Amino acid sequence: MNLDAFLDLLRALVLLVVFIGTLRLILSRQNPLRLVFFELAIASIMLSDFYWLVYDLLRPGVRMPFAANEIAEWAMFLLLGACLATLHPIHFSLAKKELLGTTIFTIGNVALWIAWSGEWLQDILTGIVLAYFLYALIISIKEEAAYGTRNWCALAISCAVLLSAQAAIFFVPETLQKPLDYACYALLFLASAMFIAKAIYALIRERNASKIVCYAFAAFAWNVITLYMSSDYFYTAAMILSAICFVLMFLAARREAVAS
Amino acid sequence: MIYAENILLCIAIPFLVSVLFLRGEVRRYVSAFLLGMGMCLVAAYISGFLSLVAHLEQNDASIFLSPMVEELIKLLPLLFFLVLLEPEEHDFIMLAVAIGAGFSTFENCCYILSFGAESITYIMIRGLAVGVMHIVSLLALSIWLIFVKRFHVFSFPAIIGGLSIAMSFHALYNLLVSEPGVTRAIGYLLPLLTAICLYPLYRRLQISQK
Repeated sequence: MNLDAFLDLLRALVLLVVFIGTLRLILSRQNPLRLVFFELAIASIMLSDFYWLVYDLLRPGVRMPFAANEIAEWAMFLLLGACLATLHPIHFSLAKKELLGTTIFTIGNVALWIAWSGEWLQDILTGIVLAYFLYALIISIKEEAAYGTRNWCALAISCAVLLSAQAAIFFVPETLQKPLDYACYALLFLASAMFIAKAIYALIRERNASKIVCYAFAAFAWNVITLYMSSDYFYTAAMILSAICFVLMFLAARREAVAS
Repeated sequence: MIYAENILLCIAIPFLVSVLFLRGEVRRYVSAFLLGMGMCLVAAYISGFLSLVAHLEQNDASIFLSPMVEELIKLLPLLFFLVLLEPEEHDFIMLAVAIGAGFSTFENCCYILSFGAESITYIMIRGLAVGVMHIVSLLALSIWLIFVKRFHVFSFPAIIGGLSIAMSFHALYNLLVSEPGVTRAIGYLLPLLTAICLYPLYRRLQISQK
């Protein structure tokens, strides 16, 4: 079993624990709407992991003509977005600047994915569903006032620097490509660590359960960006962080369910 | 090479005649069953066309393409009924089960005509696995649609999210049964196990009846 398959299995097991935990919560609630959306999102990413594992086992080294497991990932983004939209429905007038920034950031990411993989249709569809999730997240963060002006500025600058640096790698001389690539990884993982630390801190100290949900989901959103921009050992590290993010999201969802 | 349209006509005509003499719930069930068979033919046309366009071999098409096309095609009549006719929850579940049963029956008929029916063991497995799989995926989807409708969150992301899970489940099943061995056995058991898990959920949802 290779490292990727092992990590998939590990994450699938973490997701299974989260799935069972959420199911128990659902069964004990009168109005489990948000939890059901979250549960199905977890189920879909679990299906994706199992699909990838089985594929790796049955057809090692054979490239998929069409990555069917990506459909499960799209489902996860849509369901997590719908889960957040039950907290605060998406209205574009609520956060015009932030949503415009999100759109530009998503388009930039899609362009990079296409440049790296050459898969137009899948990358565009992934971008659309990811944008929906990010819109729902941004609206929730804005409505809950989870981020201050300084946080928004730091996030905007990080996104702009990241996209510019990744795009520059295609044009700079070969000697500069590696340092620039490592600088991007440093930014991605430093920001990931900060998002996760903020979510953990909120879980311990924050009283407003909806805010905790925002922090945990934001950590996951950044982890997704990190995962999609990483390769080799960095991808492995991002996969481990994604398992942590799922646990954080579950803990936040549990806190929110108990509070409401 | 089989002539699927001819097979459909042959099976559908007795049902069509019987519909004339039926009333109420049974009539609706038989009509939905016929619709499910028709949907199976449409899905086969679309899958065939797309696999030609994408230059996919038959095995690859069944693993990667068919789950998407089949689940989408099965969802369309359900959405039509739910949005335009707004049936009772009980009727909606019945329609979903009938469409799934029709779909899997026609698929099994075509499969048997293509590959023979000598081995009773294999035929039983096919009936219990594929037959149940189409019903289970559609039943789960209909329960999901009822849930989102009941909680007033019947939205595009909720529908597409549910559909994508059904597609992934179907794709995982097709992948598991594509190779002989333990994985195939697990694949054959998957729909039955899911049906067993769905039953308490179905009971808990307390589907309303006239």
